Amino acid sequence: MGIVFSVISGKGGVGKTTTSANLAIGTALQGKKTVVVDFDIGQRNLDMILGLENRVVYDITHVMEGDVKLNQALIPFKKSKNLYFLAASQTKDKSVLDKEKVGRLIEELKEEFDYIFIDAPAGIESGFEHAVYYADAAIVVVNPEVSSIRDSDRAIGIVDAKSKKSQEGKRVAKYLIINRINPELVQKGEMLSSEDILDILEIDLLGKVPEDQFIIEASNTGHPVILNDRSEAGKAFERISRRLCGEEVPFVDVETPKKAGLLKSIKKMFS
Amino acid sequence: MSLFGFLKKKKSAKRAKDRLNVAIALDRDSNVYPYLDQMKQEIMQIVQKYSKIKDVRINKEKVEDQDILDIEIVLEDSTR
Repeated sequence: MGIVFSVISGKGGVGKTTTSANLAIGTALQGKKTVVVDFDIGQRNLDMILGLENRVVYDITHVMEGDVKLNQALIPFKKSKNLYFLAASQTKDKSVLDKEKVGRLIEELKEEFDYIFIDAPAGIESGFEHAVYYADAAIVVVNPEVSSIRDSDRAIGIVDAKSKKSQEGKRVAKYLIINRINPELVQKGEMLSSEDILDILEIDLLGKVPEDQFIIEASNTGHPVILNDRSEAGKAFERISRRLCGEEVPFVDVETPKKAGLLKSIKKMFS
Repeated sequence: MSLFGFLKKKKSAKRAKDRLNVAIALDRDSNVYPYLDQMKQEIMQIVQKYSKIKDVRINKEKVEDQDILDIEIVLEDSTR
């Protein structure tokens, strides 16, 4: 029976889809049979991040409406035989989601896969509730920035109030990923540190991902950073994936800048 | 470590943390009972079966760590 991870954030643009894609690839490479589902109905994006946009024939709506079988809509990811992708509908709006239909789809996915990642829509409207209702765990993605952190706290509140597990009196695990950490700014005291953010949100840390130029390159090419050995963000996503697979991976300090040159150190003294 | 750092004003990350702590505490406080509106509607429906009511008022209170929902049902004036 698979585990359902809903990848959520308060506001959009914090790297939720990038996180979903990379963690799905990461856990698949660790040997888990994984599926990643784009739940952002009307704003399909995960297909591009995964480089699968030309492969989409059927989407989540076709499956929920019973037009096609699940297997017809699942798109295999070339670089790992363990990973499949289910696209969001681009033409419909969020109103096509219906609790029973979503429930049937999730049940079917849980039978076939070990890990199910749901890339939830941003914000806290109806689409979001559907994306978190069947979650076993929520992976909360934030940037070290006030609006992202504040909005994520509200999103966490909704998970606690509205998910099926919570309503049954069970606990939905919540894990935090801090994305786009700029080590120079953290050192200068001009960016919230991971410690500060954990203090404020009071949830468990799953991982810290530094800001990384390779992220843009990855989305340009549809080749996620976890597959790029030179990418620090990619390495961070790999560590997180290992943690999700139960491995104890120590937290790496991504908040201290990599070796500052002499000139930089001198500059810093006078800053 | 900056040599002349002491000349500068409080770092912005510290201010962010202070402001977030306050904002989030207030947000959480106002979202403790997300079901409140629905519950109020249902209470009104039930009481209306038995008596004419003007309003249902629900006040949130905290008395020594104990959360209290104070529900006040205001009936129509029956002397008329």
